[in-house]
Amino acid sequence: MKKDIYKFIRHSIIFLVIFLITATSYFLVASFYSEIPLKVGVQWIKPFFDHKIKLGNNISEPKLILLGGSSVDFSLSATKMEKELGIPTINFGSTASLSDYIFHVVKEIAKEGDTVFIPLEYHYYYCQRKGLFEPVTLRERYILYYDKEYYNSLPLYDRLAAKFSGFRDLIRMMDESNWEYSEFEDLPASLTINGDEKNTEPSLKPPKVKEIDWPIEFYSSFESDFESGYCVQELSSFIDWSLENNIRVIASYPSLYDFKGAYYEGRYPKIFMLIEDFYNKKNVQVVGTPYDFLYPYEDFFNTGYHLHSEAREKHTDKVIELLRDPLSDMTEMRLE
Amino acid sequence: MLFNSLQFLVFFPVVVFLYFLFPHKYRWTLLLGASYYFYMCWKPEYVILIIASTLIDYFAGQQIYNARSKVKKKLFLTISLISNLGILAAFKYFNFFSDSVRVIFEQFSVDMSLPVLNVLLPVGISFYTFQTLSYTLDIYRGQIKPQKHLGIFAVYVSFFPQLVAGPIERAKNLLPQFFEKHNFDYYRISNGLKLMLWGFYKKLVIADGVALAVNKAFANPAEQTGATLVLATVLFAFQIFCDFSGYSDIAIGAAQVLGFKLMTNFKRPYHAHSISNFWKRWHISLSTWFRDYLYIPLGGSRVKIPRWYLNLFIVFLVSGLWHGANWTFVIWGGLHGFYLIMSLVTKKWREKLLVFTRFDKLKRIHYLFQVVFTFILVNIGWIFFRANSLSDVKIIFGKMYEFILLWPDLITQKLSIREVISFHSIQEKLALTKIDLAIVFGAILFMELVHLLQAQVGVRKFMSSKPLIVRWAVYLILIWAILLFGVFGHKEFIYFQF
Repeated sequence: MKKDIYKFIRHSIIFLVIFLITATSYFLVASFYSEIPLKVGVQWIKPFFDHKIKLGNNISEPKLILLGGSSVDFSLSATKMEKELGIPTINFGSTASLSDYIFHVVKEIAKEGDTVFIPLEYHYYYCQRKGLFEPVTLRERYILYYDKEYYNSLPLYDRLAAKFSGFRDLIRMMDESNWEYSEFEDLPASLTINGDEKNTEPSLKPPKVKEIDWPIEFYSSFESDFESGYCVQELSSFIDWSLENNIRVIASYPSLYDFKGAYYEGRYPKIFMLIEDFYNKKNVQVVGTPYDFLYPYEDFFNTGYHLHSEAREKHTDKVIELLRDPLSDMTEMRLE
Repeated sequence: MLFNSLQFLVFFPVVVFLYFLFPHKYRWTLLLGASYYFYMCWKPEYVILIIASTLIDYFAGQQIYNARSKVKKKLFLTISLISNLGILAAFKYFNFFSDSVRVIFEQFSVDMSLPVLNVLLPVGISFYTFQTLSYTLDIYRGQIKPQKHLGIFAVYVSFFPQLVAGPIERAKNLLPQFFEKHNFDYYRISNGLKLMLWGFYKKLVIADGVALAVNKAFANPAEQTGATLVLATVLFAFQIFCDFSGYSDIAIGAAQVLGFKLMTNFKRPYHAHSISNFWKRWHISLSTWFRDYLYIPLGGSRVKIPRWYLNLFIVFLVSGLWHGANWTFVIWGGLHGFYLIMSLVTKKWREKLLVFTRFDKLKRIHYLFQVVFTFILVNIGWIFFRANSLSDVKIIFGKMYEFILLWPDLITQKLSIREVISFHSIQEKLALTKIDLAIVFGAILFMELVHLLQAQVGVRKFMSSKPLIVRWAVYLILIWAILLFGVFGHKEFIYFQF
């Protein structure tokens, strides 16, 4: 038996050394080439953010910042909210799926006295910290290519994970090398001065509304992992930062395609409660319920989160009514 | 705890290390603790169900064995059956039955609102319930003696490698192994680790590699085309095989490292030349369970022909229901029962036809035809298995029928293949790029080549004939294939839900 143990240990060590040599070689190559695939598909995000930051900083204060992903970008009209509520409003929704990174970027425009309204899409509550071997997302690509400072501030594990997968994805992205995202090239021009999307009229609806019929799929241990989830932790830190800087946070829910009544059954009602409880615990006011913002198929532009311009008006009206009371102090202050 | 998690990557070596460090006498305590911890990582409170099952069957087993009268034996067996199946029914089937009753009453305009249980299905409940049931049933039949050592019996019920997704072990195979002293054996351990590696390859590269495309196709079949649905069904066939057999390989490999020999669960099922042959190769531990504890007690084939067919049909219906509390699973089971009955009914005609067409002389081509035809039949079954509802099944078959109607035009070249299916449509509908497809089909092809090798000479025999450097290069390539092409993240095994 001893002979077997020694043989096993000997062979394991040799095998491990060989593996480590190949792994080191991989990382060496990866550190040289990882930026190649990272650039693909993220070029358009830079002018988009630069433009929104510029718009946000040009607006007078105190202001209302609409923060979230593409649902905010498409489905809320900051222009209308500014007019109706009498508060300078910026649509800081991001079409790029940058998950928790938006909480970092918004800090560039959020100032003392501002209010941040966060009707986050549901994937913000279950996005996880990227595993070492998981594919890079737009978030990692963007950070590695355009925000080196933020990248360097990340823990070593996250930096290694981005490098490792960045190179790995080069193989998978070979046939995507012609990605130009030409439709986004004129992005700044497609935004209003409040940061709203301009070209989303129902008549411009793409021929096929992609992914619209997907009910949101929460993974099976979502409920138990919720509070410890990576993005929820990041959101929690962002709320803490806001409160420390005298920035008010108001939470709500995104516009969503009412998929065959699915959200009224099964796990969904409980999950919605979980989200509300989270905000309550953080002393963040929540306005409306998820069910207030469920809309029929015809109201959507190109995904189950993006309303077209007509439905956006309807949705914005609802949100304005819900925000009128909580924001009355800001309105009064401006009137004074 | 998932096998494909970092947690397991730490847990398993620690358990193995401690296992060989512990004196043989106390190893069961380590295995029991590790097994309960393994299960509790998912939902701690549900371990109570395993403990309840263990205690019920431990005492029922003793009572059945010690009872002098047949009536008493039957009584304790009934207690065991009712308790185990009762727990299973409550957690897995209650909502299905209450919903079905409600729908039936609705047909007669009667509003019958039955209560709904809002509980999570305990992971692996069908697996460990069937394992413990086989124990009491075997004692009742006088095939085994009850286990006196409660601790070892508890390990038998909860043994972590096969606790949540099988193979469903039998007491006479597994229980005695807990009393055997397993020494540190280099070859056994390295073989176990290699089998685990192969299981991870199947799970992470193939099963999880196609999961997104399959989910997308079946989530909304109305948005798909017939061609993409055919592709998604074939991909699902490989997904479910690689997911489940991958789990079995990891389970068998992990047990082998510890010195245990679990039963084979899969034998290249897509190489089956008939449906009955398929069931001798697919989820063997479950099909033999149904054979021994349901089919044979029903009379098996030693009854009149109509009754035999009915027996077969019942077994497959129950097997379908075992897989899930949904009519789609029941129909899937029923369909396989129907296939088997039809193969028996038409056997003589088929043989005559074979002789008449002289196809019987072309054995290889005939065999290949049988394999392909069986694969098609199995895939038709998978549509019921995977579809979210019966209305989705209808849509899928409708779209596939439309696709078949295009074939004459394709053959006569009135229509080009690109108009029916293109990389662009696959990318749009299934979110699979050319590279993704190349990786997935390359990985499947490699797996099938290994299967062929396994059928011809045996993979271990083939590998052991190669020099060490070649063998290690293959293992290293396999590890890097997993790291580079595997899909990592929160991916559970499909069979957990059963």
